[in-house]
Amino acid sequence: MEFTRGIQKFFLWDIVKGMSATLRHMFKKPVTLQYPTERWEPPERFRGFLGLTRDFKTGEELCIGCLNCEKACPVDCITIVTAGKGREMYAKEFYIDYMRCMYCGLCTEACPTTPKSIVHTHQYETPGYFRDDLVYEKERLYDVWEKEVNYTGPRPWGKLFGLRNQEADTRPEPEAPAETAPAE
Amino acid sequence: MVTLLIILGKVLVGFGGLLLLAAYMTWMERRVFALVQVRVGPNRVGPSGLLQPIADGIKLMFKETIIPAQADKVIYVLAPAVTLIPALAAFAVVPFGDSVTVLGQKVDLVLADVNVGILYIFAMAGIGVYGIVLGSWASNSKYPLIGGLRSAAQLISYELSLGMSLLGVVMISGTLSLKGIVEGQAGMPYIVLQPLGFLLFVICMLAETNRAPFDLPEAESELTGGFHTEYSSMHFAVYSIAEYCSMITLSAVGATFFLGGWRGPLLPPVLWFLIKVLAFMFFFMWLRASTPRLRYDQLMGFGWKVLLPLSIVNVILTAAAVVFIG
Amino acid sequence: MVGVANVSRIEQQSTLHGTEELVINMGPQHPSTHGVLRVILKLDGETVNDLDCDIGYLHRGTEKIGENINYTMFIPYTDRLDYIAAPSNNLAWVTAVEKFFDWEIPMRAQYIRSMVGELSRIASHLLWLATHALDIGAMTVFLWCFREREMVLDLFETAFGGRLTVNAFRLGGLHEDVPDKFLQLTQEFADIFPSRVDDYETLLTNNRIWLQRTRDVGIISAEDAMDLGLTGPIIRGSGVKWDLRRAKPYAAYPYLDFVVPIGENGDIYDRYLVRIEELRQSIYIIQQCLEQLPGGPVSCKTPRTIKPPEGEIYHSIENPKGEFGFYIVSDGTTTPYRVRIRPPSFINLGGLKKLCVGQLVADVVAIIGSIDIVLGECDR
Repeated sequence: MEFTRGIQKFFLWDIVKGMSATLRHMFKKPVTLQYPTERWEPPERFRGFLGLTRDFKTGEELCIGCLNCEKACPVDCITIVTAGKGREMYAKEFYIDYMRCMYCGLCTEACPTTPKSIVHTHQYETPGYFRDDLVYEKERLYDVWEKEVNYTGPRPWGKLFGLRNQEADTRPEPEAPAETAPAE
Repeated sequence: MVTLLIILGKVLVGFGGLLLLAAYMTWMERRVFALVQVRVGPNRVGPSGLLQPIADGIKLMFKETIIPAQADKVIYVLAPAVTLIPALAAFAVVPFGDSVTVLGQKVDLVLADVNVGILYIFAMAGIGVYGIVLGSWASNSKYPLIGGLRSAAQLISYELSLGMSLLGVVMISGTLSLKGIVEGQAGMPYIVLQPLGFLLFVICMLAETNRAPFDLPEAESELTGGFHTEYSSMHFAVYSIAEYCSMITLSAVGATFFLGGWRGPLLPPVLWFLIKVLAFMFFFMWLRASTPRLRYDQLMGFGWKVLLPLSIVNVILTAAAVVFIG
Repeated sequence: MVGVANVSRIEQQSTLHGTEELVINMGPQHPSTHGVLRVILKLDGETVNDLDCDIGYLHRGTEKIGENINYTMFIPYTDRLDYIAAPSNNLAWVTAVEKFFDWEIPMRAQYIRSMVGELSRIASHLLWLATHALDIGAMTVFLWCFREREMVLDLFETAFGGRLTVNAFRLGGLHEDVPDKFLQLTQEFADIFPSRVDDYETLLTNNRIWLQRTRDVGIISAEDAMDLGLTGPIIRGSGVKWDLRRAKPYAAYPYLDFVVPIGENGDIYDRYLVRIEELRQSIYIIQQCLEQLPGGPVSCKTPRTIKPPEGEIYHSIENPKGEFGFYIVSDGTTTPYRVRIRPPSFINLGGLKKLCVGQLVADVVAIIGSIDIVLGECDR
């Protein structure tokens, strides 16, 4: 045993083995995704840009201006100005500061409406040239959702919104998360 | 006149080819590394990234040359050239093909057939380290200083074994001229007669050209680039070209001494020579992808305690064989 | 007195010849300090005489932020501590806060927490192996490890929607159940991963250069390690069987079977072997989780606003890098009165001087790599 080990050591067996391992890998297919030309499909639950949703039939805004998302946001990137009272209440202005947003998803979890009125879309390429470009106002947040409606990959909210969906349809509707369950 | 033209042509082809090859070695290294590391490597500039070295060159040319305020400016600027020129010059004595007939004249495909070719190569390789030491010293910075010191120590300890490892071949062939050595390998390449010598040569060559696992002067992870930490733009490019040039030169020497130089069946001699050199280069890259880096003291220990005795043993064995067997 | 006389003579000689210590600033921008750690090295030639760590370049005041936001909001902030293994930090925070209450966390959530915790351990150890090997000069392992780490991050993304800053767990369980696709992909990953570990080992474990670089370098004895409060793979490499998953079980670890690997010599090589074995054990744990995964809800009933009773709590878990703990003082309101983080990197970094003095510069790099620090958590 000691002898064979000595022989192996003399003939650089460990180096040879390592080199054969690297040689084997030379013939493997590269795992690189060549980004601008090839695109990766975000998984169903991907947390991309936040968008405000509309009812797919009537086109009504779903947001009821309850300010839950504003309160839940750890970085205070959401600013809402509400108008109306009681059941008439809606968000008159809705700003999301994407320079601050950390895509944690707590705002979507806090949203009490069904379907959710603020969701993470699958968009991830939205840089801006100016800082002001990245503070999204209400119209642009709805635009984000318009783009998402045309998205063809799997979506968690697809069924709820009556959108064409590839895989997510089989999943049962998620229950309202415990934290936002009405306690009052 | 014709002779002069031919010499000029040879110089242009030889050195131009060497520099071009050195530039493309960067591309090859990146591609080989990418293959090993299951990724793609440079593939945007030109077909399969073939124009990448040229793009790199242009980019580096337009970069600002930063000279540290405390640096010794003259030496700082000259040092890269001091590394590059010997690396190029050493190639002059390496025959890269059989003689051809151009314009009615018989032309040997070697820039200069010096009868003490090997000594010339060692001399040039020895000068090469000055560029590194001067550059690192002139930078007047701490990381380059350590890199330069390492480089000097490394070169001294490995040059000896490098010379010793080639001595066996010289004893068998009985000549110091590289052309003569190639002619001596008409029957079989000397690697068959000198397997240990070949192994020692390859290891010493790695150390001599600062390649992994002996790339201590650069040692990116410790010394942030070693001797060329402070260098930028074309000065940096010259350093890296010089590194690849000396790699190619020593590969050519290895091919000439052990693999029969430009000799080979079917294909034209120049192509055979190129194939052998590229095989050496590929081996370098492959090895670099497969091994970690030695530590400085281990490197010195290895050089003095293992390589030197082994190469002396090789010389003695060869001498005995030459004397008794003939 | 002979010793003193000798020292003074050497000092005299060195002043005579004009030798002096070389002070090198390693970092904060240096390829091998793993972030923005600054190490001030005092060198005699290439030997380290003394060293000093300068930290704080990545200080973001996380503890103070924790005092100003509520308990749920702090979860994404814990992602940013040890960002290499974000779900582990989430786990530490949620389990610490849950200690204030007597909630019964459903078993399914516990198992998923353990599973994701182990996945993050794999992600962390892979990044450690990649950068450690790169520091010692083995470049190929770097990208091989990243290939697998990418798979783990994809798993996180499938389950929770985030790659690096996962925000995985919520107080009381999970936000929603993981998709079936996650379980299926995890199974696939668990099937192929052991062979990939073999690949890394082929390049490193028996390689003579790797052995030369790591064996008998950076040795720390078990006593010293305990005195310095080192935790995680470092103390296990020194032969102390201390793993919070066993010592103070949390999540589903009481029901899972695994071995706590320990080393003998306490050198870099032993730490390397311990971590490699942990990679295999993690896969073993994940496979058990997948087999035993119970059904049912993933979250218990939690109140709308989380108001822990007045009091204080310390809870720590076994993060990939060591003991990661939270000390929380609650004053009965929705925000903590004080949050203190016990970061393993910070405390393990305290052992750097002990490990490095007398070694060479190249070893310092290897030792920093073997401690496996992440500055996000060290500077907080």
